[in-house]
Amino acid sequence: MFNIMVVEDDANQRKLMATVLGQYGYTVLTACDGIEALDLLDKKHVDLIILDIMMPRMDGFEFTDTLRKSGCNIPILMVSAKQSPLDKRKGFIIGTDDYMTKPVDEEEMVLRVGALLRRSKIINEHKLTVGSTTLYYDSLTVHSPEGEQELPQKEFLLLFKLLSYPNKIFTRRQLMDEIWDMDSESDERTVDVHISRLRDRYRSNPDFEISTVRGLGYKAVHHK
Amino acid sequence: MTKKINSSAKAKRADDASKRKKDKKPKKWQIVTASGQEIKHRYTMRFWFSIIVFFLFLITCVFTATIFYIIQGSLLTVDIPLNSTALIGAVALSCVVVGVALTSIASRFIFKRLDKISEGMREISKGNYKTRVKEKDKKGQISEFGDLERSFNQMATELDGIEIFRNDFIDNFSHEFKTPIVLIRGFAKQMQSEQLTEEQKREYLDIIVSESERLANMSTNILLLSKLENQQIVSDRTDFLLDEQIRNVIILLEEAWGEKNIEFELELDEIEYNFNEEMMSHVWMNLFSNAVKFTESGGKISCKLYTENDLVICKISDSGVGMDESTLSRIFEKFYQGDTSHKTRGHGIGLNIVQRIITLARGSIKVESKLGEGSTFTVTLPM
Repeated sequence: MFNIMVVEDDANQRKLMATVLGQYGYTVLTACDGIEALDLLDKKHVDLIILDIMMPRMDGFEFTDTLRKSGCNIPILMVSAKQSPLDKRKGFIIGTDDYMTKPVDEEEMVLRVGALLRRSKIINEHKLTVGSTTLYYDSLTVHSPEGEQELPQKEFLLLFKLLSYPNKIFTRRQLMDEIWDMDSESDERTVDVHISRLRDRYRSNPDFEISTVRGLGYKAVHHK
Repeated sequence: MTKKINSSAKAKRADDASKRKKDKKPKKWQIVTASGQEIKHRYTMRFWFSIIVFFLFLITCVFTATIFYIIQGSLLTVDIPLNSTALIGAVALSCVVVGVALTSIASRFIFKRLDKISEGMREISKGNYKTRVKEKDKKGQISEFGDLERSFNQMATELDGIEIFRNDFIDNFSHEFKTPIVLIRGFAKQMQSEQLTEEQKREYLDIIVSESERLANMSTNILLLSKLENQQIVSDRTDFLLDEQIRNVIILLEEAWGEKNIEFELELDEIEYNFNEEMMSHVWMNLFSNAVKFTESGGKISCKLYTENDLVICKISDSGVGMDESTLSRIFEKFYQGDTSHKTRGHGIGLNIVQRIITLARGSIKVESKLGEGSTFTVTLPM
């Protein structure tokens, strides 16, 4: 089971987050500021950190900076009353993986925790599994009921991206910006072409499908 | 997940866009720029200053020479030896005297105006934010220092605005927050009493939860509203694509419209725009979440984004409940809500925020609606 560390100076907020997370099956450790959090990290294994920013002794930004500089890549979800885009930007630049502004919707927090953990697993293992289909990032291969196939790079990256964020709609431009470099002469039509190639390949795949959302873009849907 | 356009992609598109409109440079600060007359004054001032300095030197030399000549002439009869030290001393002395005298006369004119500005700054630091300096002289011409004076007045206005914002904010805050807080406390206290039926407990808890949600949403929006109310300068302007921004906003709202099976019909031209990206996305967020809120399940929301004569036009139509005449005339008011039934209750400042942002962008927004058929919001923005 996953260990989640909640770092927050207000006792009631700590209690609330711990309770909600506990209900969803996570083991929760708590710390009341950055220094206590660092101590705790030395002693226990932590899979994800939920981090308040405004805390005494060591604030959230300093903590994240210290952690990242020491090479630790534990996913961090920053939760703060600071909502200005400048603070968000600062958070992301310093190394957080996600950012929520208070007051947080606890359900949303749990969903984001889940997504971060999934992504972290994918990043650590360089592979993504959906049902009986597995994508291996290092070799650009896909093992599926259709067989073992090595895909052309762009097709693989496109599929990997869509499957990493199931049900999230990506616009053509977003996909193009991330997967195709700007030195190529591709435009948004290229994305459409690659999607239809992927659909051809995995037309009969029972684990997922790529659906078009009219006017917006594409998303991958996991079949349960 | 915030999606940022890859920086090199952005650079390439910005390049293409700027080639398309050569004379439009993205400004970071939309601040008062020097008018043509002020620029002319600036260079005229420098020119005259140089001339004056030259003449001061000239006059000093002439004066010294004259004194010298007089001394030499009148002292011919008195044989005072004039060695080089005395010579230099005399020259130095006369230079200083002449120089100081003439310069103080000439500079009195300059320093009078600077003194006024210093005095203004002293007043401002005392907290008197209504202080202003005169920008035009008696003839109605902008003075040589016009630029400085105009900037000073703009600064004073912003400071005054911040002061007003502080007071307004406190008023709005206390009024709009007291209501839900009173309800939450009231029903929570009720929950402390022993004799309550299960149904009563559930009902009270529901009210506590929904009023808390209301407070939570409001706290974010009221801060934004108050900030916008007193803002004159739009900072953090960047170039971004409006069509992509709209798509991203719609994607963010997916949970709401997906649940209601609402269909979107989008006709978005690729349009590059320069403004504060975060503020503009608030506009779309508000308009679309209202559209989703007031459209029935299975309904349709359409959006058309295009340009016409240097104007960007965005029409957002929904097939929802629509509004009657009296509601229509008041929807942009602060804290006004057309439908105050429990389910669709918001807090009434969303559209007010939208209108203020659009005003800051020098654009306009209008709405057409028919009860039972739906509403169309049209946003017009200058390029």
